[in-house]
Amino acid sequence: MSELTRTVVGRPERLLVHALVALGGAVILWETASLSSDSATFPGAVGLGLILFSVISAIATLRSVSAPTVEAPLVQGMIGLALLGAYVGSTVLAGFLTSALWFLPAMALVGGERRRSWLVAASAGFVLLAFVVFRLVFAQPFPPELILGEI
Amino acid sequence: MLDVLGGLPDALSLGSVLAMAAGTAMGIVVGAIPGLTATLAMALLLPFTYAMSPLISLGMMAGIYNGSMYGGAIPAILMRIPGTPSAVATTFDGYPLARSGRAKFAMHVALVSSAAGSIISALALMLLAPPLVSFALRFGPVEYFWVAIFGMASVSLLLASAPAKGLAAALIGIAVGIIGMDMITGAERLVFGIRDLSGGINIAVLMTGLFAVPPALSMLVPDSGVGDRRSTLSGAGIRLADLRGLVKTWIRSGVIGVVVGVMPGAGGNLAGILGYSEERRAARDPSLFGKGDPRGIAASECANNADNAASFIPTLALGVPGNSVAALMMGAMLIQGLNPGPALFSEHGDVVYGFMWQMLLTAFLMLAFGFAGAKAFAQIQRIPGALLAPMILVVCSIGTYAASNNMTDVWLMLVFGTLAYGLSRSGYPMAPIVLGAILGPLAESSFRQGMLITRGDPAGFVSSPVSIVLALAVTAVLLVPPGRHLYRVIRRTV
Amino acid sequence: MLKIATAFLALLALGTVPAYAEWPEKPISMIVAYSAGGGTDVTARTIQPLLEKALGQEVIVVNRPGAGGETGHAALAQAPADGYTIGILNLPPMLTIPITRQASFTADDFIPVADLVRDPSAISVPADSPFQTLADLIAFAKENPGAVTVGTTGVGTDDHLATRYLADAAGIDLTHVPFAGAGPARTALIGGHISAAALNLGEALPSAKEGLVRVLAQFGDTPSEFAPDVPTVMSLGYNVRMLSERGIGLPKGVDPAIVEKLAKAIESVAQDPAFHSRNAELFTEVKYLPTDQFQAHVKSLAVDYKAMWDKAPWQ
Repeated sequence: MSELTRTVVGRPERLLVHALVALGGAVILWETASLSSDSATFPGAVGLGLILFSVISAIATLRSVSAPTVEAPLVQGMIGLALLGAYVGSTVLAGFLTSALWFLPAMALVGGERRRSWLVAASAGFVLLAFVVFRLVFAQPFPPELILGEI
Repeated sequence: MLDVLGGLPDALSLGSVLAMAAGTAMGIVVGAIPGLTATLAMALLLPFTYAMSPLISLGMMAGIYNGSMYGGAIPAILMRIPGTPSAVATTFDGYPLARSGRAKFAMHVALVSSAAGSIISALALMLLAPPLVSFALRFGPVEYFWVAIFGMASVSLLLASAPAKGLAAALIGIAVGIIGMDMITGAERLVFGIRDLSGGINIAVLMTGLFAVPPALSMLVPDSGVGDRRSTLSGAGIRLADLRGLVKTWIRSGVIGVVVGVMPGAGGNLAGILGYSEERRAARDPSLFGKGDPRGIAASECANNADNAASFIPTLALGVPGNSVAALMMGAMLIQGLNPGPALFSEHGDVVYGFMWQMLLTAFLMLAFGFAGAKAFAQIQRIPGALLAPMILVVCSIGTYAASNNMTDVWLMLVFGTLAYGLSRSGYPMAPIVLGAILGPLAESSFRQGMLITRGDPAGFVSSPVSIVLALAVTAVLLVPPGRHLYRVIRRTV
Repeated sequence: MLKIATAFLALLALGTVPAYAEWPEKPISMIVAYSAGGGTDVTARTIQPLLEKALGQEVIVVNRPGAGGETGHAALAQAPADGYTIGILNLPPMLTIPITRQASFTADDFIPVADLVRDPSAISVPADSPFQTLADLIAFAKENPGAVTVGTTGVGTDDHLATRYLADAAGIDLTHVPFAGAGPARTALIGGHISAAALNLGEALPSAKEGLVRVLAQFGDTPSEFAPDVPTVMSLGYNVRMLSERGIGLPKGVDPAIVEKLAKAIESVAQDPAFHSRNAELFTEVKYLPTDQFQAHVKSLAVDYKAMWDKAPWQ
């Protein structure tokens, strides 16, 4: 696995994640408290278990220093997720394919792609291909596109 | 037996062969694209099947189903992204093997194992359908409860390296599975007033978020991740000697896949993970698993394909679809005026047996297309990661939307992707989340149905032969590893 | 530049002009509140080509499954009232969902256009069950309260309501075991894991014809043409009537001219012999009700369910 390892995750981040898992457990407990006991038993146990296991994980984390991960570093990861969020938001307004015209180059820039003309050509080619596949092959209604139009 | 052979000429008609070929090719491509699943492809195809003759539309669907199960292995091996939910366990060994420069070999193992699984499954459908149906009928709520517990116990033990995180991940999955209406009382749970959640979370949305978003993000890191791509294409393919070593794996996983397929409610995603974990348990030397053991790929891929034809056994015999794909096929049959059930065999034997042959024949088509196309599929590796990442995310978004026509699902995919990224960075495994989401609600509802049926008597949970066997299996899974450990310790000290 | 912008705006505007007189001039979406391949979906896909023929326009079936039908009905309720989104109305879910929970639609959000098919709920037992008639089952349940387990297709479905109100009418105590739909309930019934199951007649008959289950009684008002020897529960002296019905509806606010045009098209679908033969194969009765009758029917059902809920809530 070692050749896959790139970045290291620090102790504060891991502790924060364990805390959030525990918080999730607490939210589940709180949410199911109002239900009849028949419905609440199982989710209640799940909530308690989440709190218990995150405490165990937190203790283990306190004993260790840092741990490797194969996932993207925080900078790329966070920017990537933010871009994906913006993309999903813009699909409601402009459609999946029209929005892809800005999303593809933007994310590729974050990923370090610098050949601009190539980027534009690749994005346009991909969108056209996706258009052919989704619009023409599958008769499926999608949110209206700003360009390319509805089928 | 003769009835079965009678279906062969129909399955070999020109139209049927063309339909199977088109379906298989389409299935491999759809399966290979993360975010697009066999269920989606078939749901989109359904309106067109209305005008087709039965064996054309069924042949196409058989091809899509079998092809997509193999197709899902392609990105699982090359990019650590399972192309379909069923290929989750294929990433465990497929990706490390590809990273060590043996991508071609890994793809060949996946292909041959997929074909082996499809063949085992189709033969089970042709030859063993009646006994398997009566076997499946012995499973009531009580037995399903034990199956769910067995699945969770068996796979959680795989994660013994960090049990607390593995178990927490399983619980997170269960919590996701609980969202929506409580089947027994009708009360809404964990909906938080969001109406779109009241119907529960679609497992495919959860899987896309968990398994496509984090790897896509890691492609954004220059000269790492998928890097050094061109070299991964090279390497030797599979040799005949390698195949011999996998036969035992295929038999084991094939049986697991068929059993999972026959029981309504489970499906390929469970078959792949269970096949993998049982293979690892059975292996004399499990140390290579997770580091590129071909048996891991073979087990996952064989099991997820072996689930396919078997899931039609309850569909054809009882009219009860084994999973979502079988449900779609059943819809396609109903639209054609074919009502699934035993009468179908006597009234439309040509179609039923022809379809069984199609399930078998598409396995060979898949093998042919897979070997011919492996190189072409691997070309995807030439696209720079920085561009491939957004492309994958766009296709996942469109696929997720197309499956339900609901924007909320696309937002949920983003939520699960964020969750997966954060959890995975801190060392939480992803596979137990999926398992929990599938088996947790099954365990709960079958337990409560069982309590209603036995009128609150716990002894009712071990009253049938099947439930006793399953309860013993669960006990064995829980006690054997510590027992073995104890035995070794004692032998060393003596 | 200005020219291009104007042309662009004009193009945009073109897409939004409501053209009532010429409806339909673009493809129509038909929302189905259950997943592809299910009973409602099959009904929709049976209607689809016939409706296309009648309207001379493409009809696209859009599955919006979830929350026992709430998601799809809400999608229809919230769709633009331009006549280009129609949907299958499922009774009773369309009426019972807003009664039982804070749902995202109400029964008044729809214009019921026509009723097309119906399928009564029915009580079935495994083939080897000692119960030969409904009277046997009720007599046994009277002596052994709670010993009879009845599987249904889920909480709040017509099958659950039928079981519930039959138990009330007969003064017996049945143990209700909900399953996730007709498939699992039927498997459990055939496997003998439950003593009886409430399934729609059309869902039970294929298994009954194969001798796997026995249908004791059904909850329709008249004997079914597909199973004339199955008595209705009402004829046995219990005043319980429970049917699942599928009609076609529009979101409220659609131009009356469009409603009328659609109703005419549906009427021709209902008279098409192909529609009748397909439904016979699927064991669903064709029961066409034109707009005014369907609307009156929905209204009276709404009052009935509300009264039932107020008297004895089923969940």
